[in-house]
Amino acid sequence: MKYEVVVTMPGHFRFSILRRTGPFLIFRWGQLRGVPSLLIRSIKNQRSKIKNSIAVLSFLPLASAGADPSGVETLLQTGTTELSSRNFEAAKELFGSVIKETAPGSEPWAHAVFGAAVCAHHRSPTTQKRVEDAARLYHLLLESVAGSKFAPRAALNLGRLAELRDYYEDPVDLEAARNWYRRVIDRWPDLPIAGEATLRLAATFVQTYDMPEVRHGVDLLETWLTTRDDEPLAAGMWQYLGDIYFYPLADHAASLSCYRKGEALGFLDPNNIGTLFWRMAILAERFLEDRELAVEYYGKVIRTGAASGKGYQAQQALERLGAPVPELQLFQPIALTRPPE
Amino acid sequence: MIPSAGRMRSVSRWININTLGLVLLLATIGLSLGRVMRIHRELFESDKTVLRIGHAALELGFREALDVVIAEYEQLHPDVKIIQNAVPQKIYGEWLNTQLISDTAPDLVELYLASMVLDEHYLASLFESLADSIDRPNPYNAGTPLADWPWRATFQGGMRSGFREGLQDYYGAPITLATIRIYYNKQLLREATGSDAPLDSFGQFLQACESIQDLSERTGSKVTPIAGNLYIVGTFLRRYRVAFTAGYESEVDVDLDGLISHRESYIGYLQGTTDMQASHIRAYFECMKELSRHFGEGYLGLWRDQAAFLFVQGRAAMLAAGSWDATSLFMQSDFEIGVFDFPLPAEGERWGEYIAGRENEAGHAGSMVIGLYQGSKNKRQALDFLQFLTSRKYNEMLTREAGWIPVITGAHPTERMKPFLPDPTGYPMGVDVRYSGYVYEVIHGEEWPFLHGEIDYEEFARRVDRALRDPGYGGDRQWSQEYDQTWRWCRNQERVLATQASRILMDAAAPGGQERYNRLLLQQTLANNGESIRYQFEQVRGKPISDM
Repeated sequence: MKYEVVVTMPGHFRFSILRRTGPFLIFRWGQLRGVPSLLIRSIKNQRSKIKNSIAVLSFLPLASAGADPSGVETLLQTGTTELSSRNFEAAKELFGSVIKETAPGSEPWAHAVFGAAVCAHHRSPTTQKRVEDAARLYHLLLESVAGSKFAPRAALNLGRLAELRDYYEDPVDLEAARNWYRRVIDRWPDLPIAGEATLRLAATFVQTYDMPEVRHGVDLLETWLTTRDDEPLAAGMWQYLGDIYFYPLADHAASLSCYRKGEALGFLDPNNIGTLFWRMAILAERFLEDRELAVEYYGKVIRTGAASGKGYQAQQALERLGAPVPELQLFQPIALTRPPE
Repeated sequence: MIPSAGRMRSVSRWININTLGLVLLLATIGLSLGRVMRIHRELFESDKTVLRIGHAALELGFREALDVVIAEYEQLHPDVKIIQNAVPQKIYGEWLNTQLISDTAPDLVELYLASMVLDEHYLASLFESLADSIDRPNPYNAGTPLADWPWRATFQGGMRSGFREGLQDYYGAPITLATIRIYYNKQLLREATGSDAPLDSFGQFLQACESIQDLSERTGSKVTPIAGNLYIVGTFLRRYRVAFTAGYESEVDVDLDGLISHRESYIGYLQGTTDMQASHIRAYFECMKELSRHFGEGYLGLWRDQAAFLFVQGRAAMLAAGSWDATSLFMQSDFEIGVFDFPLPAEGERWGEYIAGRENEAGHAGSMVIGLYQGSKNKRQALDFLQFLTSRKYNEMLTREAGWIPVITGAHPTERMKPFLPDPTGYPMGVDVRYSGYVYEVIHGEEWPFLHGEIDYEEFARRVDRALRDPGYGGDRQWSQEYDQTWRWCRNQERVLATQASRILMDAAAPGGQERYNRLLLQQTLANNGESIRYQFEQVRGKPISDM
């Protein structure tokens, strides 16, 4: 029989029966700050009584550690691990403990506020209260430590909160989202996040599918790309532009040109490359009547994108175009010619 | 010495049904306790590192094959003991969910059937990402041509079945390739048709079915041509739907990705290109009606096990089943078995003019995907065993012993398994207006009365049309739900992105974390919060999607 009971005593103390496994009962009590969060994780995952015991023992000193820097560091690390595993509930408690333990404005404090905000933002189920809590924490971070490494992401996340519907009847506020994205671009123009904010900003115009707005989104991205040779997201931006020119703008030449620019930089996502090469081949053959380009991309479908299922049709297309037809290499049991990737 | 009458009476007083019951009860308790203690000793009191691997592959030969490979591994690593937990498919999902919730899941788990491994958000919090290992060589490929290849690149299909699109990460490694073919009883086919050669065309296939039916009636042997069953009938329908309707792609694939989505099928339907009167669609359904006559009576009440039973008993001449069933079928049959692919109507045969080509298997990227449980106490050892299983030498050994298809490049299949190798020639998709929800349920439900001859094609077409044009629940509604699901997906991806961004900022990201973030970001941005679906609806249907 296994059960767990957690009893929170009034004030600062908590008494917990962590679990009962066979004849063993594991108890612990301690200050609310820090410790219980880890215990909740232990309870939740029920790894083993030994692990729970270790967790209890290792965190007992923390219960009375106050603002012990190494304790805070451990809590931050544990919180980060929990957040990485998407255990937002446990992570938020840990970050909450650090917020109480550390001086506002310090880097550990900023780390914890940001972590707590992300947890509130994404803890399931998403509710209005949690989203408001997340927004409050992001604002707190921006107002208190605008120079922190977490600040630009906090500002961008406020834009995401405005752009997306987070819960039932959450209104989409594209104008507010745009203001946050612009603020990131203006305030941190030299950080990589400025490129991400530009992509987000452009997307808020594109997703209206109102043609002047769509064109404005395209202009924003093209302007950014002409002035930023070192933009890390450039390949993705060109691919996105290729998509927009294809639909809804139906400018097939511009679409193919953008895709090719993205390809030249190395597409960000190589996993669905076959269907993208197929589209490029069809654009070249059907709409631009550019045989050479069509042959190039049908060949790429066969050589690098055959897992899309389009390899055989690409072979047929090459035959139709009178071009050499490469063999499909998929599932050749003894083919060892493939170079290491 | 003769016992006294008093002593006999005293003994016989104890020999009664209650005593027997008590003895049985005590024996059962003793046996159970013994077993519990033995398992406890094996798992917790062993002086070795104990690994467990959980899977649902109860097909004949696989467990024995895995034992052979485990023995090889244990010989190389004498301090390791590996236990396999084989669980029947029917309860595997529930079993695995329970193990995961109670934190008692095996170290390595077949990612199959359980909601907690199919849902990406659960998966990410319960299983280890393999991102750190996939770009490094598999140490067990040392000394082979694959020695320097990244682990990921050694898989036929590049380990794609272990890749989760929504997480942009690898959470498992497949250990076999799997396809579906038609097995046939050579002796029966020879008796019915005079030949036991594989059937190359649909015309030959139908003719053979008729001949088997005749033979059955002549001899009273009650042999069914094809052991139809609910598990496999969908595969028949899909294979032929693609063959008959893939040719519509140039007309309905409006986004030019080379695939025909449900939405594109529906748009084609509304425009009259792929409606129920379209020649290829009509021909497809007529063909399926003809084929289903040979599935045997009450086939919808059968599952794969019962159908296989009919086949190995010689009561069905053919059976469509997976490569994973090959050993079970070959070992349990006392007749010679042949194998062929789903035959298509050839030129000059009935329906031959409607065929584009076969459904291809290019997308096959490996089956029986094994994931590494996050709660494992021996993650490094478990990962090591997974690499052992997927090395060229031992994957070949495993699949040879099991009678399966290897998934590692350069690992050779047995002669018997060669007809099962995935074939990338052909088409990836056909038209399918069975969008989802109500439309899917109605059309899918109406297929059976039509296939069984209870309603004619015109009536079937009317019912399909009524379902698709239903103002409340029809195709428009499904379209609006696709919009709804897409923006929800975008919101859920925000959680994945936020986690990854936080890892990067907090210096907790795995190598390649920024690249992974960029891929996720692009993927979400390209979806435009679902608004392109909304816009297309308004363009095609001339009304706001919010009306739905």
